[in-house]
Amino acid sequence: MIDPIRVAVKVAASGLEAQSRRMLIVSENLANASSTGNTPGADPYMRKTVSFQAAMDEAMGAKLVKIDRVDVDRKPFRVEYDPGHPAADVNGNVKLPNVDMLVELADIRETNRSYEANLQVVKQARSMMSMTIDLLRST
Amino acid sequence: MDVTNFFSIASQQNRWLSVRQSVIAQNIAHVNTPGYKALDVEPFEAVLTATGLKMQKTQANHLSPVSGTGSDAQTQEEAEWAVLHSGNSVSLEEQLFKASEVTGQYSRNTGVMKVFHRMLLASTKG
Repeated sequence: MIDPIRVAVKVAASGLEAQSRRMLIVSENLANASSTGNTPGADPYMRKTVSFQAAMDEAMGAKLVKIDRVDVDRKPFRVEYDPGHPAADVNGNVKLPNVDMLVELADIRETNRSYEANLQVVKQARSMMSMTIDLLRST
Repeated sequence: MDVTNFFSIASQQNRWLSVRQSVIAQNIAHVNTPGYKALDVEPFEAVLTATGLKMQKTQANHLSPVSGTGSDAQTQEEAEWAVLHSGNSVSLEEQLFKASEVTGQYSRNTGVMKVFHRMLLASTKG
C-alpha cells in the first residue's frame, strides 16, 4: 500500500494540473475576446468552457481530477454594426465573440483560489512528512 | 499504560491522520468537480475499537455476523456545509480548517513520541 501522505500530494498535484489547464482555457478566451472571422458573415471565436471529473486511480485508491471535456459555449454572438469591417455581412453587421470579460475574470479568481488551496495541501503534507523524519533525529 | 503500547497507539493515530489528510486532499482537489460529494474518514475511536477483521455486508440478504452488523466503509459522506448548484458539496474553508487540524494533531503526536523516546533513552543509558 502506498503511503497516504504521498497519495495526498499526488491528488493535490492532479488538482493543480487541472486548475492550470483551466487557467489556460480562460486566458485563451480573454485573449480572443475580440477575434472576429475574416470573411464576410463568418463566425468569430467561440468561448470555450472546461469541466472536471473524478477519475479513480486503482493503485492509489484515490480519486484524481481529470479534465472531462472542453466544450464551446453555445451563447449567441454579440452583433455590432460596422460596415467597414472585413467580417461585416451584407447588412454591415459584424459578429463578435460571446466572451464576457466579467465572467472570465471571475473564473480566473476562482481558479486562483482553488490552486492556492491545493498548494496549501502540498505544504501541509510535506510538513507532516518532515515531522516523521525528524523522529529519527537524535536529541 | 505501557510505554511501548503508547508507541503503537501513537503510530496508529499518525497513520489514521495521514489517511485523513489524503481524503481532505482529495476533497480540495475536487472543489470544482461537478457532482462531487465531500468525504471524511470514520473517527479514530471507531478505528481503534474495531479489532480484528470484520465481514463487510455488501448485499441486503447477506447474513450479519453474530456480534452486531458489518462495519461501514472506511470513508463516508460528511455532513455538508453547503451544496452548490453543480451538486458539489466541498467547502474550501472547512477542508482547509480540517487539514490544519490534522497537521496540528500529527505534530502533537510526533512531539509526544519524541519525549517518550527521550525518556526511554534516559532510563536505558542511566
